[in-house]
Formats: sequence, structure tokens, C-alpha cells
Amino acid sequence: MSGPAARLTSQAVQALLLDTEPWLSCEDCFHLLDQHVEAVLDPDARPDPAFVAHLAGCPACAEEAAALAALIARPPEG
Amino acid sequence: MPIIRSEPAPSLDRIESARHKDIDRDTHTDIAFDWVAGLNATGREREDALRRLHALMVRAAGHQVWRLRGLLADDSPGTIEDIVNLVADDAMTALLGKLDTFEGRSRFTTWAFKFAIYQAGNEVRRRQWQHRQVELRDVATPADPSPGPEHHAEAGDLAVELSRAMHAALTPHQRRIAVALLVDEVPIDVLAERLATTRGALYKTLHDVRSRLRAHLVASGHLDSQGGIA
Amino acid sequence: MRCEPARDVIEWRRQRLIEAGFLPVQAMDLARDRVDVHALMGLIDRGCSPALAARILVPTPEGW
Repeated sequence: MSGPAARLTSQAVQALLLDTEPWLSCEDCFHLLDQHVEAVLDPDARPDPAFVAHLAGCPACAEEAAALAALIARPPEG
Repeated sequence: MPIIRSEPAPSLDRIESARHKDIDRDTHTDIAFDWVAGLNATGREREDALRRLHALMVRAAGHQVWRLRGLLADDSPGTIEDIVNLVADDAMTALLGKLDTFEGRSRFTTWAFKFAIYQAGNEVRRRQWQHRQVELRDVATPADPSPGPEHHAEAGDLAVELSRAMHAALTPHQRRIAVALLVDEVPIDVLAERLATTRGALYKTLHDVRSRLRAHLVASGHLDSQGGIA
Repeated sequence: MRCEPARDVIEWRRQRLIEAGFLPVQAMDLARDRVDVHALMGLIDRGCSPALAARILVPTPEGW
């Protein structure tokens, strides 16, 4: 196979053992992204555990959620 | 003599500042607009809605490309503009194909933005990795000779046990996907494109990998039942 | 939208498929036709031969 065998760093160990339950697929995360990001920006809303777990385990989806939150939370200039 | 630049060129900051002012002025009118009616209309009303939708896509694409510009080898204004326009067009096509899935559980603008943000991230990471080697390598077995002191400094007992667990509990392809995504940190959409698969399929594999490894290490006593180090 | 994968991506897939046991000609066809390499590898992990894995994901009247 290609490349030398990989050694596990402490960061990789953490990432490999991350608990990503309850299950949420990337497709479902995208489908729910807008409503969950708006909910996260609501201080009274409770975050969905599956959504939170997915973002912890999927950097790409997490980046999209952060970008969307930053875009819609931008305060209007005076 | 090469120009070494550690900060974005001033012209990019001025462009971004001006863009923010435009965004804030337009935000309220965009939120109030009846997008679904406009995009389902015909004639000039639909053309107007499409034009406004494209402006939304450009805004969100510009926002995300700007956030990720550090990943680009070429972040010149011309390249940024090209990427933003390409992404906005792709996002618009994707959104219009899924217009009937908008359920009104969020603002239309929030729902629409995510299409451009998704496409922008994919495009920036694709460009970042287009000339980089992606390997599908296995994880070393603990019996393999150590390459040097840094291995001992980083590994620790849990890493050794985890390597053993990966060989005991995972298939060869599962190990290679886990290494590519979590050790080599290949972006999931970049790896999906190389393998002609989907981000979701790879994430499912990753989820299964994590579940199997946790279960294996709990059974062997290296993790407690809550998943903490025993 | 981009539909054609870059030539080097096709070559990368071809190499991975050959390493997995596919014949070179079949590997090139699968790589060029964007057959899901992740799914192919998953079937091989479960004990399918490369030929059977290809037949499952790319059913044709003639077979491989």
C-alpha cells in the first residue's frame, strides 16, 4: 500500500476515540444546519445532542456551521 | 526579488469593508422578501428573484472564501473573485434543485447561505489539495521498529493499545480511511472526491471506526464504560 | 459545474484499485467512470473478490 505506516499522535488518539453518538449523517447535518445555527444563536434554545456530536467529529461540517453563524450573526453597522 | 507578505494586501481589506457595509444595508430587505413565491413565479418576477438570489450566493461565498483564504496559495483579489463567482453559480444550481425542501424552519436567507458556504469550503479545500499527495496508508503495528525518540514522546500506552485495537477491530480499508482523515488530516471532502464517494459515506465509516475502537478498548479495560481512560 | 475528474485523480484511483487487486484495464475503467472506490474497497474488506465487487457496483448484462 502507499506510504509508510502511520504513528498515532496524542491528537490522533483523541480524534479516533471521540464519542460521536447519537448518530447524525453529514447529509442530515446539512439539511438541519440552518435551523440549528439559528437556534444556537438563540440564548434560550437547547442545542441538539446529535448536531453537537456531529460537529465535534466532522471538521468540515463544523467549519460550515461556524461560517454560517458568523455570517448571520454579524451586527449591522450604525 | 520575491515579495513576502504576512498580512493581506490593503486592497483586500478595503474591499471586505465595503462589502460589509453593502451586506448590512441589504440584510433587512432580503430577510423580508418572499423568496419562495418569487422563485416559483414566472417572467420578470422570477428573473428579479433569481438576480437577488445570486447576490445572496455571492455574499455568502465571499464570506466563506474570505474566512478560508489562508488555505489558498493564491489569494489575490482576482483569484478570490473568480472563486466566489464560480462557487456562487454552483451554489445557486444546487439550491434551485432543492428549493422544494425549504420548510420555513429558518429564515430563507440562512437556508440559502448554507449552499454557498458548503460549495465555497469544498472549492477552497480542493484547490488547497489539488497538487498534494493523498496517501491511503495503514497504521503501524506496535511491533514495528520505533523510528526514534519522538515516537516514544508522543505515543504513550494508550496510543500503543489503540494501534493494536485498530489492527484487531478494523478492516484494512477502515484503518486507511481513519489514518487519512484523522492522522494525515486530509479534508473529508477532498478524500471523498479522490475516492469518487461522498462525504457522508466517509463519515459513516469514521463513525463505525470510532464505535468499534471504543468498544474494543472498553472490553480490554483500557477505557472505562464512559469512554474515559481507565 | 465540474464533471470531469482531473487526470491525476483518475490515475490516483487506478493505482489504489490495482493495489487492491484489480486488473489494470479494469482499474482504469472503474477509475475513469467514477465508480465509488470507497464502496469497492468496503466490499473487498468483506471478502468479495475485486471482480465480484465491481460486478456488484457496476452491473452489466455482459458482466466483467
